[in-house]
Amino acid sequence: MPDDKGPVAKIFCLLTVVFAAGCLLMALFMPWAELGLPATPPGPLQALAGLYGGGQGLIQAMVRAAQTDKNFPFYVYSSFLGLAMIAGAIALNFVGREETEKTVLPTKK
Amino acid sequence: MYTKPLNEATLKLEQGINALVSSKYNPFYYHGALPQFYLWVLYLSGLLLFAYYIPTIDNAYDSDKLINAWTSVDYITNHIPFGAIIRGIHRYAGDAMVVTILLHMLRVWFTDRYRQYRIVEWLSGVVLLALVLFIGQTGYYLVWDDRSLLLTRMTCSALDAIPLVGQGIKTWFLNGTEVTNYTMANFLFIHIGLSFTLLFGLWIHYVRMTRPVLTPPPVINYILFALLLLVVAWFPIESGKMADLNAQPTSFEVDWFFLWPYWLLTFMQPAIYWLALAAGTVVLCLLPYFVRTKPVEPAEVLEKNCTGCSLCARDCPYQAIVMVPAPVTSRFKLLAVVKPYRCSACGVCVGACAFDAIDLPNMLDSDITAQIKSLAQG
Repeated sequence: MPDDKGPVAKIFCLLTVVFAAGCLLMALFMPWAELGLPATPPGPLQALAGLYGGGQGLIQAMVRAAQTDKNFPFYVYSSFLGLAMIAGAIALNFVGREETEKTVLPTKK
Repeated sequence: MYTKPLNEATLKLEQGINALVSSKYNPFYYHGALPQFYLWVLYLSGLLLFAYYIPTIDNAYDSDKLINAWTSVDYITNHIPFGAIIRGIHRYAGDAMVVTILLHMLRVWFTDRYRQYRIVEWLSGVVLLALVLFIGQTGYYLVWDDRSLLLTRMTCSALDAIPLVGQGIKTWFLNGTEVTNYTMANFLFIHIGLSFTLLFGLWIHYVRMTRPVLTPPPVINYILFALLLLVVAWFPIESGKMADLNAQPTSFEVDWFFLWPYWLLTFMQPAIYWLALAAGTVVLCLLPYFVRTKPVEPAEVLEKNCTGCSLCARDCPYQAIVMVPAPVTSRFKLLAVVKPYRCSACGVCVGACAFDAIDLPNMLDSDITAQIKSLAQG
């Protein structure tokens, strides 16, 4: 990882934020699946699901799994929350990075 | 010294991680705090499990309306929202705690930070490790599946083999002479009671450290907890069959973090097993005494210069300096006194003293300053 906050660091940071947002979004779909609601989400959620391309199919699979294994949605939720936390931690690592300490020795006159 | 190559390997590994995540977020620099993070996770998740756990065995095995330890664990896992996750967190946090304790132990061993002025930390650490392992094992009894029953019976057989006190300990363990509801209550008490005893053990572990690192930075905490969530999600916990006192389970799935002593029991005579465990513990306790090195030359206080300001005592990382009433001939109220067996000769006190009142033997202030300058410039 780069030490400075140059373009590479900014790209890494951006990717981390995008990944974290994706994880959060996926995690938000979990209650939907857990509640056994229709596999085709209404309105804005449908548009969001479409962003993933296979988002609709994924939601359908989750709804099916939720209906067969009661704990499945909890495990998926936990999984995505874990991934989002790791992404958040990596982002914090960049945002919170401190400048390298430099020892300044007093110079004699 | 035999740990030198290990020390070098550890430091190189740490340097590699520093390059990756910077020293601020290097988990190796919080190796002592990592198990403690998992301890808090265990306390919280355990509290949630305790709310629903019922410590009875209820022998009416075929009853439809059975309520016992196994059914309560099943209820937690399959009916309480996120119950399976909480149970998984409790189980895997225990495993993670053992792993991080072992890493902590290896790190202090390899970097030669377990002897002399750190002997209390090492010995209390060995006791804490033994306690954590035993507490973890009692957690396996509480599930009350066929593995719990087998482990309970194996423990009883092993205790029987101890001369003189074995029978008494077995009676204490079972809370009677056979497995009853009182036994489960005892298991629960041991599991929770000893868990809180860990706090007392930790106090002893920290008592000689002025500024122990008690918690890693939030970023590391997030990652530790996130990894826990991932493991829970990807490796869900499943109970075995409900324990049946009339059955004779003969094999069990070994959790290598906590149940390895039972694995040893499967091919060792109980007497040899206890001897092996005792020998292992004694070797761990005596490890610091196997290495003979030059004794630490403690810092020395120059009474005539000491003003009793106590800066050195406050800065000392190992609480090796105490302030005592100054002699009547002194102009000041207090005098710093070094406890030689606690001193690491690190020189922090020398840097803290503004009055040249404390020195390391054979090392003058000017020598230290020269060394610091050469290190900083190099």
